[in-house]
Amino acid sequence: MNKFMLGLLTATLIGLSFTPMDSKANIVEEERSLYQNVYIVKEVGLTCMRFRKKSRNDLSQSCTFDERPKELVFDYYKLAMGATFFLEDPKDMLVVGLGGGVLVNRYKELYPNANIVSVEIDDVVADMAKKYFGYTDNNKQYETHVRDGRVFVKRALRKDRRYDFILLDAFNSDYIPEHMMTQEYLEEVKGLLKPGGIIMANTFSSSALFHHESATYQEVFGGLYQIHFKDEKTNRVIVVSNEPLPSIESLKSKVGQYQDQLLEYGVDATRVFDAISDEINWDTDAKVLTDQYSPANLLK
Amino acid sequence: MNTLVLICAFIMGFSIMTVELLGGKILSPYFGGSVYVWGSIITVFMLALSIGYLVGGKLSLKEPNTRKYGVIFLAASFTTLPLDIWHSELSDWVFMKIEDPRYGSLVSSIILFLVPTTIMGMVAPYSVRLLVANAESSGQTAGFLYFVSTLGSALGTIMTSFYLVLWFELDSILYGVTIVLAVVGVIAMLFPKPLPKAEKAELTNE
Repeated sequence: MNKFMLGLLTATLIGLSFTPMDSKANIVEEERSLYQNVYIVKEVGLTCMRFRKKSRNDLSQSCTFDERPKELVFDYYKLAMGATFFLEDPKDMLVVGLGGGVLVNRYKELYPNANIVSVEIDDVVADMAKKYFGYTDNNKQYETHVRDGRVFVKRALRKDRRYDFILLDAFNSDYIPEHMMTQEYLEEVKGLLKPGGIIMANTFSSSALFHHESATYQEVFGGLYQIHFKDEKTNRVIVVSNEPLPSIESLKSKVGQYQDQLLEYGVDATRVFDAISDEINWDTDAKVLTDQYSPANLLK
Repeated sequence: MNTLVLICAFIMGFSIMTVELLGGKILSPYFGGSVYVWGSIITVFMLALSIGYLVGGKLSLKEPNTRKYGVIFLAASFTTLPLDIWHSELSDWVFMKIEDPRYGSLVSSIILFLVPTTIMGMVAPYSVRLLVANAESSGQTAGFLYFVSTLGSALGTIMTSFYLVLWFELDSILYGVTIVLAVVGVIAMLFPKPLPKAEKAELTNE
């Protein structure tokens, strides 16, 4: 209980530190990659990776607290920790969209025996992940592939790779790779799952795209859970499987399992559990996105 | 007839860029959306157009007429059919054969786009030949033709990337191009016969 109060207090303090003070953004490194300008920015006790110079928070791709590097900064990071409710000692994990590697680092700690393959299209981003966010792949348990996510998935299918858990995290707020939102892509990713495996996707909860995307997941997987904090609008993660998902009620027993470790990450396991929903809150008539029709960037 | 030729050239300019832009959508499921995929597509289009200009110019030497002009459009339409029908299968086949997405996308682009785009490129010099009345005004005529066809390309680019992909499915747009080119081809074949040289000169100077 005490620990929880302490957590709350820290959370409040963090909240306060976010209120606009003298936001002195300090660009530590910038490098132009094939896809974007990658900036490492230090400000108000945070180290962030950004693809644009303007210091708007939603444009940060990855952030960590300098003082408490394990603590998760963004809500969607916290939502992604909901994976722990669904997983049972995963052996093979795939992360499409490494970014700063913040989530991969936490998954490594949560599942020290798992093999984790990370895919990142931008080699500069992958380098920055290693340099500034403590991501490593020296151990042969871990692999980093600099490749387009969809191309990787197609090749992996051919090589009969299968995973217990797949995190789809290839989108940033500026641009959506349209070929990685389609029914065909999700079918391919689904094909990479071991029986009963879990796919978790970090996606959008606002704009017209929300409806199209939800309808697409529904079409491919026949059912999905969403995890989103009620008071937060912009982030949600989708959870799907190639087998029927366990009932939300039955997941409750898993809340305690990683509670302490999640608290260390600034994540209240109960709050994340409460954020799981099976409600169909999208327009079920929305057109499914396919390789034939996926104007994702025009719909956003 | 001049106006009709200009309209045809405009439509061809539009169609070329529509197909080129859709190329990105056709290849991205297999080779990604990376800059080298666009590099492959643009390389093949430029190469094809350059060959097309050369061949089209040669063709225009031998008794140029609007019937042959129409045949070029019909040939362009016909050679986009394999692209329309088998683009997924062909891309998938290349994907299986070639591991490197750079060469994969290049080979796919060659298979899918080289032939139709080459034929599409033949239209521009042939149009110039049909329009030119005398050596003196030939530069102006060619310039105006490029103006019209490149304007078509600009419009084709923006319409496809901003609107067509939002309104239609990929295959519908591709078949749309095929049908439009076929219709234009038939119409061009029914054009009135070229005017005598003197009258034509007057028209061009309007």
